[in-house]
Formats: sequence, C-alpha cells, structure tokens
Amino acid sequence: MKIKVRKLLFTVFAIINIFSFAISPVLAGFDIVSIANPVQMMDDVFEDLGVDKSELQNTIKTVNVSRRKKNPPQVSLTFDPANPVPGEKVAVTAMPTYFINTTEDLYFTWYIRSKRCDSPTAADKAMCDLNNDGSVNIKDYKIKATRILVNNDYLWDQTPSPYSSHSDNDGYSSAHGGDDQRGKENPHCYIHDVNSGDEFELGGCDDTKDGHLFPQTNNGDTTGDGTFGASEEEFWHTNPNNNDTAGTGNTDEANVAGLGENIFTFTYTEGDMVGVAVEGSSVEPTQYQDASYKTMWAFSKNKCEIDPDKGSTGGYPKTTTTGPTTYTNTKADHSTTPGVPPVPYAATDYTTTVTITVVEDIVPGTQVNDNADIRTKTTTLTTVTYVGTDPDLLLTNPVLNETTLSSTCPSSLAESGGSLDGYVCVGSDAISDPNNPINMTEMTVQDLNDCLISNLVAPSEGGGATEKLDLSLKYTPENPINDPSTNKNGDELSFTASAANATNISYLNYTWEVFASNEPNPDSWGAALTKTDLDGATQTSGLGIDTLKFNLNFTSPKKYLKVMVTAKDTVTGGEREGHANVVVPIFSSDERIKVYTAGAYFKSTDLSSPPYIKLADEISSTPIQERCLFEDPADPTIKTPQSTCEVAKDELIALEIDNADDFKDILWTIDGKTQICPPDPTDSTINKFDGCVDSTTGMATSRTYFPILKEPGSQYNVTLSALNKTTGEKLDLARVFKVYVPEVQIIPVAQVGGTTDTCLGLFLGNYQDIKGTLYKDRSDTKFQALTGSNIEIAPKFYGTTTPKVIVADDYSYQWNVDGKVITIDNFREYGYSIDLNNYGKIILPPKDNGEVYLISFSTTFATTTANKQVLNKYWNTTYNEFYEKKLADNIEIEMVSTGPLVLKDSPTRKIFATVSSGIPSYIAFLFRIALSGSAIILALKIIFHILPKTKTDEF
Amino acid sequence: MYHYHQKIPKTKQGFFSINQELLISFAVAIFCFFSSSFFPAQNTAQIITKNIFFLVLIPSLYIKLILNKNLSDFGWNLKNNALSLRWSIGVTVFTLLLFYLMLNFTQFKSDYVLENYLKNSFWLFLVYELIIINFRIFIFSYFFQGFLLSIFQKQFGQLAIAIQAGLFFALFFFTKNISWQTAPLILLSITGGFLAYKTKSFFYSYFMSIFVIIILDAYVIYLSK
Repeated sequence: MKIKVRKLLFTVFAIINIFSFAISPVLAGFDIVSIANPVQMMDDVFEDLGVDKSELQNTIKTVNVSRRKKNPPQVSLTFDPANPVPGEKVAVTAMPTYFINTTEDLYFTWYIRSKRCDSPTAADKAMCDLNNDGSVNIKDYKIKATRILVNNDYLWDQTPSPYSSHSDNDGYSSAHGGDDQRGKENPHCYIHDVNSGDEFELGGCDDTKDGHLFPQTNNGDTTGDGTFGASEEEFWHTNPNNNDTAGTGNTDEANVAGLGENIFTFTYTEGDMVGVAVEGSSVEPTQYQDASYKTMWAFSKNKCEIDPDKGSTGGYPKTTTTGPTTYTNTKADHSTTPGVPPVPYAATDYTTTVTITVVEDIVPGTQVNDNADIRTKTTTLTTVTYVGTDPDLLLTNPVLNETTLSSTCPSSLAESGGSLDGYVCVGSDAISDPNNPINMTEMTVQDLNDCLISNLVAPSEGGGATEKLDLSLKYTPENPINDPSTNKNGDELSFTASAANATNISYLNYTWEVFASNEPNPDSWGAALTKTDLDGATQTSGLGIDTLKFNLNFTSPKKYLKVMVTAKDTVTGGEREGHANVVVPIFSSDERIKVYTAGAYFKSTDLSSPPYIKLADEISSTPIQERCLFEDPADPTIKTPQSTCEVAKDELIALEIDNADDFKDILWTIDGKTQICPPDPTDSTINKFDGCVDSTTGMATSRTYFPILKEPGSQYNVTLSALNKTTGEKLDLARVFKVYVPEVQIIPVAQVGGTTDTCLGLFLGNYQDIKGTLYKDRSDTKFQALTGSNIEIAPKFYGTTTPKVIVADDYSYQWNVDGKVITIDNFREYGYSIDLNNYGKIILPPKDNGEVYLISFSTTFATTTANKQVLNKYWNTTYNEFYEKKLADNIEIEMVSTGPLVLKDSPTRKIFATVSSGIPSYIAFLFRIALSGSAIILALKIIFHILPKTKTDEF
Repeated sequence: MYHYHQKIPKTKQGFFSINQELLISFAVAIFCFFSSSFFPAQNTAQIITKNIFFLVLIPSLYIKLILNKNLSDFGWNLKNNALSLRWSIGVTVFTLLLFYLMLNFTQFKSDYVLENYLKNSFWLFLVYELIIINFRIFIFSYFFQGFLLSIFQKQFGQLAIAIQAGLFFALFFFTKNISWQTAPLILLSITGGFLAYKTKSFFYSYFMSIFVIIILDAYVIYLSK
C-alpha cells in the first residue's frame, strides 16, 4: 500500500516536473523567473510599454534637478526717453515677470540716487539726508523716489502748513507677497541662490515693518500699517485732505508702499540713477502645509546674492561643543546614556575632563526642498589625567577615552510624542522634521536692502536704448554690372545708410569704406580702396553723408565688393557708434543688349500668308546698323550705348546680344513679363520671327523682337538674364526704351568722294564744355553751300531710325524747293535728283553766289503695311490705332563763292543782319521795285487820261 | 451808305464805260497780285518788301493818285466803333469755334505743323507771330478785305465777300498750296471778309485774324506738348 502511494506520488511529481519544463513561462501566464527577479520583471514591463529605459533614466534625472532650473521673479526697466537731457521728464517702466500676482497687486519700492547724493559733501548732506538719521543711504534714496511718486505736484510746503488738519482716511494695510495674498497668516520670504538654484528662507518675514522693503519715515510710523496720519502725510508731502494725492486709484499709504506703481516719472539731472525692488509671490509654492507661496523680491538688475557670512544651508552641518568641563580628584568611565556625559567619581590624584561635541548634519540623499533627514553625531571625549607623583602611573598619562554614542530614532513623530528633543537619529533611522526647514539662511528681509545699491540703473543702461547705434545699409541695383572696357558703361552703385535710433539724423557723422576681394568672406579684405579707385565716387565721410555712389568701371575688377559704413552719434555724456556692411557680388561684362530696327516682309513665294520678321537691314540687304548709340562729338568713331533708347510708336524692335554660344538658359523680359516671339496664328508650328526661337529646343535665343505699342512718353524696361556655359556666372543686362514723338531735321549729307564742308550750317559762335574744349555752334535752319558743288540734303529722324534704303513705293517724302513741290515723280523736271539708296536724299544743283535755296520737307511718319499686318496679327492692333504723325522741317541755303574750297564762316549777325549784310543787293532791289511801281502808276495815269471820262454819279 | 441798286439810265455808254472803274481797279489788282508773286526776290526781306509794295503801296497810290479817293473809303478806317466791336467779337468767337471743330474732327491737328523752334522757344514764337505772321496778315487783309472788297462791294454787295475769298483761294490753288497748313488763312479770308464787309474796315478783320492765328498756334503747341 505504502509502495503504491509512493509510486503514485512519484508519478505525479514527475509529471509536474515534465510539464513545468515543457511549458514556456509566458504561456503559463505565471512567470516564475520574473517573480524570482523583480528587476527583470520591471524590464519586461518597460519593454512591453515601449519605454526606453535609458531615456526614462534621463527624464528622471532631469526631474530630479528641475527644481533648481526654475526662474525666480525678475524685473526689467525701460527708460523713455532712452537718453534724456538734464531737465527732461523721464518715465521709467518696470516690467516684472515670474510673479503670480498681477502688476496692480505688486509692491514697487522705487529709489533714486542723484549724483550729488552719491558720497555727498557736507553741504549736500543736509539735502540728501531726507530722514535726518545722520547718514545718506538707501533709505534716503527710497524716500526721495517715494515723495516724487506720491506728491503729484501738491504744494505741501505752504504757509500756513496744510498739515494742521487731516481729514482724509488714506491708510493701507499691506500684505506679504502682494496685495492679493491678504489673509494668508504665515508668510514665508525667500531669496534665490543663483548658483545652486535653491531658495532659502529669510528671517523676519512676518513683521509688518521689517517684512517689507517699503520706505519708512523717521518718526516711528510704519508704512503699510493701516494708519496714515498727518505726520506721515507731511513726511511724504501728500495732501492731508485727499485720499489719493497721486491720483492712482489707491490711497496715499498704498502709494507710499508702492502698490501697483510700475511707472516712475522724474525730472532727470545728469548722473541720476534709479532702481526698484518689486515684492510679490513667486510662482513657486512653499513646502509648508498651508496656501502660502514664496514671497520674493525682484531687483532692477536681478542681482542679490546670499550673504556668505550668514550661511546658506541652514547652518548644516551644525556643531555644538560643550566643555571642556574639568573635574578634579575624579575619574570617569564610559557614558552609556545618549547625550549624558559620564559622571566622574572621586579619585585622588586624578583629574577628569569631559568635552561633548554634537554635530548635526543632513543625511545624504534625503533632502527634498526644505526637508531632510538630520543625523546627529555626539562625541563625548573624556580625559582622565593622573596628577600624582607615582612615576609608573605617569607613564600612561593621559588616558584618553573617546566615545561616540549612537542611539535609535523613533519611527515617527507620533511615537516620539511630536518632538525629537533628546533623540539623536543616525543614518536610515533618521526622520524628517517638516517644521524645521533645512534651507534657511540667517539673512533677514531687511538684509535685502544691501542689494539695492548695486541694482541702480542709469538711463543709458535702461532697455529703451541700446548703447550701439542701430545702423542698416541698402544698395541698388541688385545685380550690378561692371564695365571693364573704355566705354565706362558700368552700373552706378548706390548705397544708403539709415539709423533707427539716432538722436538727430542730420548730425550723424558717416564714414564710408569700400573693400574688394575675389572671395565673399575672406579672412582679410585688405586695405580699403581709395576715392580715386572709385570712378565718380561721391563724398565718403562727413556729417549727414548717408549715401555713397560710384560707377562700376573697374578695369580689373574683383568679384566682390564690401562696403562698410560707420556712423557716430553724439549723445548726452558721450558718443555712440554703429556699423553696417554689405557684400556686393559684381559681375563684370562688356556684353550689352544691342538694338536694331526690325521689319516685316512678305516672302515672294507666299504673299498671302502673314509676313516674316527680321532685321530691317537684313531685309534691305544693307549693312546692319545698331540703334541707340551716342556718338562722341570729339571722336565720332567712339560710340557708346545711350542710357535711354528712343523709339516711336508702332516700331518693331529687335534685341540681340553677342557671343550667343557662350550662354544658355536665356530669358528676355519686357516690363517684368517674359518675352516670347509668338508663333504664326495660322500655324503654331511655325515661328516667323527670324532667329528668335531655337528650332531644336524651342527655347529663347540671343535675339528677340518686341513691338512699341505704348503712347509717347511711356517707357519699356527690357532685361536679359542668362548663364555662362563655362563659368556658370549669371549675366543680367538691362536696357530702357522711351517712346518719343518722332521729329525730323534736314541735314547736309556727305557727298561720295567729297566732304561735308561743301555745305555747312551757318556758324553762330562757339560754346565750350566744362573741360574748356571749344565746339562750334552752327545753325540748324540756315546753311551755306559752295557754288560749284551740288547740294545734297536728306532728312534725319529723331525718335526713330532714318532708313537708308527706301523702296520707291514707300517713298513718302515731299520736298518743296523754292516754292516748287518736288516728288519722286517730278524731280527730274527741275534738274534735281533723289537717291533712294542713300536716305532718300535730294541733290540740288548749285546756284550763283548770293542766291538762296528755300527748302522745306514734310512726310507722314507711319509704319509700313507689312509691319501693320504683324502688329495686327500678333498683337491685335486694330487699323484705326496705328500711329501717324506729320513731320516737317525747312531750311535756307545761301550760295557762297568757292574761294579756297573752305567755307568762310560768316561773322556773327545781329537782329537785322539780313538787311545790313545784304544792303547793296537790297538797295538794288528797292530801286527796281520803285521803278516798277512808278511805271505802273504812270501807265495807269496815262490810261485814265486816254479813257473817256465817266460821271461818277452814275455809280 | 452806298446805293448800289440805282437805276442806270440807258445811254450810249457800253459795258466798259459803265463799269470802267471796277474793271480798271480789278485789272490793277490782278496786276499787283501777279507782280507780288513773280517779281524777283532773293530773300525773305525782299519778298516782304515786294509784297508790301505791290499789295499795299501800289493799290494805295492807285486810290489816291489815280482815283483821287480817300483810303478810308477802301477800308482804311476805324469808324462805327461800337457796332464794329460787336461784330468783331462775334466773328472772332465763331472763327475760333470753327478752328476748334477742325482740330477735333478733322486731320487738321496732325497736318498743321509748326516748326520745332517755335514750340520750344517762347520768344521766337512771339517774333514769328508778331512780325512774320503780322506782316503777312496785314498785307493780305488790306489787299483782299480792304482794296478788293471795296472794289466789288459797290457793284456786287455781299457777293464781294465770296469774290475776294475766291480770289484768295485761287492764289493758293494755282500755286498748289492747298493743304491743312494753309487752311486757316483760307478760312480767315471768308470770315474776315464778312467782318470787313460789315464794319466797312479791314482793320477789324486784320485784328481778328492776327488774334485768331495767335490763339490757334498757341493751342496747337499746347496740344503737341
């Protein structure tokens, strides 16, 4: 039987073991390993929740020390004006932060120290010692500021004194930590340790007078005690018959306490310094078991450190020594009672000395805010000394017997009866005493007054103005281009500086410097360029010189220019300076946009389809003429592009740049809009603008076309941007076009094989340019021509091109020579010639010496029919919108003798020059006409004499 | 007041005898007219001189020496001041209105060209208007609205206005100078002739013409700016 039972038990045990090995701990739901290892279980929980243990540890570490990272209450001051002049009213505004109170509930204790009250002389002392306590200190500074605050220009020093009666009721009872903390009976005041981040409690917080930093009178009255009698009214210079002399909405005593007084206004004198201490409740609550928050103060410069002499850690470790106590003719043994010294017993020739040292210290790792476990170590040193004469006993002298006693703490205050008196707790047996805060300093609230002097602020230190001049710099154009060639067509760079906080902009002294480098941010920019290096530079230093301009015509330019400006501003008590600089990338190129006249033409193979467009000179197979070039009068071979290109309405303009193969990603814009040559409206696959669109890529090329559709007086801004294929540099070019009303002028044309000197404008005089070079001034309407040479004249158009080759059908010029209208059809009848291949010039045969040609010219300016079709088809210009203008001019050409083939310049003529210079011929003329007239009259006389008389009354 | 509708008794005198003065005067006018055009002159001073001589001096000498009449009978007077002034103002306003309509509704604005130096220099403009144009207007006014009108109005009455204006128009027509440039003068020959007829004086038409031309030129310059 027993064997069966054993076998059964063994079998059950085996089965259990087998299954326990087979079953996974997880499947079992009964994790034996985890139970055995709690840490592992914890790790598993973290893993299941996705918690990264190392991050959690970091978080906890941060939380552990977060208490020390908080911001204590602070205040900042701003002065308005920032830089006052003596006699000027200054308003100082205090902006407190990290208080739980609103501004209206905070106490602002202002104080002001004038220059003469900082170490005053004997004479000044009487004026500065406002509380007559024999010294000039922070108390007087507070009184000075408070009187300014609460007086509000009340005439307090009248005769008789207004303080003989007192009818108002303007007392105020202050509350610790702000007016909204009223009712909290146990205030706790703290000071923040900037280094450790801890806050330490101050003593004397609950006192009505000493628990604040309010200004106080010299007569025993306490500010904020609820009573504000006549003596206080008189001391503070308030109105005894007005509850609120300052008009702030608070009573006089509240105003003295500084309740809600965040703005302090005073009349500035040189050297004045101002400060404020703001009392309120920190955002940090206390650890006390009540509703209290930490009452703290913020200072102007937020500077106030714990007095090291007064401790900062509650005096821990604290050491108390009792003794040495000497007992003669005694011996002592070990003490067995904690805190109780051994009792010496009588023994002749022995002296016992007992010293008890008690050290209280914080148990490491147990402090939480103001609470910690305190450990006390009591050491009793008992010294027994043989004072007899036995030499053997003297050898063992003295006998030191040091005993450190320990004891066991009660487990709770309840067990100890609520007090730890007599108990000495050690190590983990220690318990905390919430009524015995650790972070205590021996500083009191009044000790904070020692911080106030170091928190004085002068207006130049205030937040309203910075010590530096706030200078900014701008430049234009945005992408300037340098012209290294002799044309000197580089952009004019213009820089403008502006100072945001200058006292007087006109009196800022500017200094400009320009540096050059191939790097945008080199270690050194080197020496500044001199004014002579800068082409056309304006003044570079002086009062009010807030702009700098110069032309980018460097022959060997660097890639970057740095322009730096320094401005100096004279303010009260000194000077302040500001700097600004800007780095300008320079692109150097002698590329420019070339302008040509475009024209439309019909292909002979397809006259019905819209016309094609190409350069007008290409159509007429004449040398291509670039437009808008200014010819140097001193050297006509030098031609520079005009800054503004004159064009006329309805013209077609072609634009092109050279070296097209060097560039890619070309973009043309007209007035900011992308310019493209539109495809044929009838077939979008064809583009009839020659060379405008890349046939392969369909992209813009180095040539484009655009019509002039705006009215005279308007302007077009054309830009080109492209990328250099080799260097990757960006090319930005611009050209300005202005639409003008075209005009015409008749001018002599150089003869083939001859010279222009056969016909010149009448010499009027000389004019000289600024360099003193003389230029002849010739008439545009009166000319002289040599007899013996043909006269060739042609029209020259302004505001549009003068076509060199004119198709006969398009010839619209009308000449009038000496009253005869000359056209393309009848010029041969008069012996004249018209050259259609040379500007349509008319060639006149010479007359005799002294004879005159009177010539006038007129034509109608209008674009060609083909151009009109283009404008209509591509830009929807209707036929009644095309521009037409009649142009006319007339001249007079006087024939002069050939002489030595050099025209003699006529002398300067006066108003009646024609008559005076031609008197001989005119007199002859008069003679002739008088004779003719006389002959006529004589003939009429004869006729009337011959004819029969008729009776006049018949009429 | 001239009675130009009197009965003419039938005599043996023929057409020439009856209209002797008219015909001879007309012949003198034509002769002076062509002389002023074709008499050789080499410069502006000579042209102005010959125009004054043939269109002003010769007719005046003809009136004084040949016809033995007063110049005042041929428009050289300033009588009927109040009435003449009223007519002058009315015709001036009407003429200005006509020019305004021409400027706004015809090609006149674009085709009436003034020289650039006139547009750009006020002093040259003044010299041009007060001397050049002044002489021209005076000469034409005296010859056409003084001499010619006076010759014809005795016989033809109001038709004389049309006759002198027609002769003025013919002057420009046969010299191929009909254009918008000469349109103001042609128009003034009509309105000026009417004014001269009503006031019996060419001076009012002369003053009216010079005033209108100055206003017109100034306005054209203003429009071109």
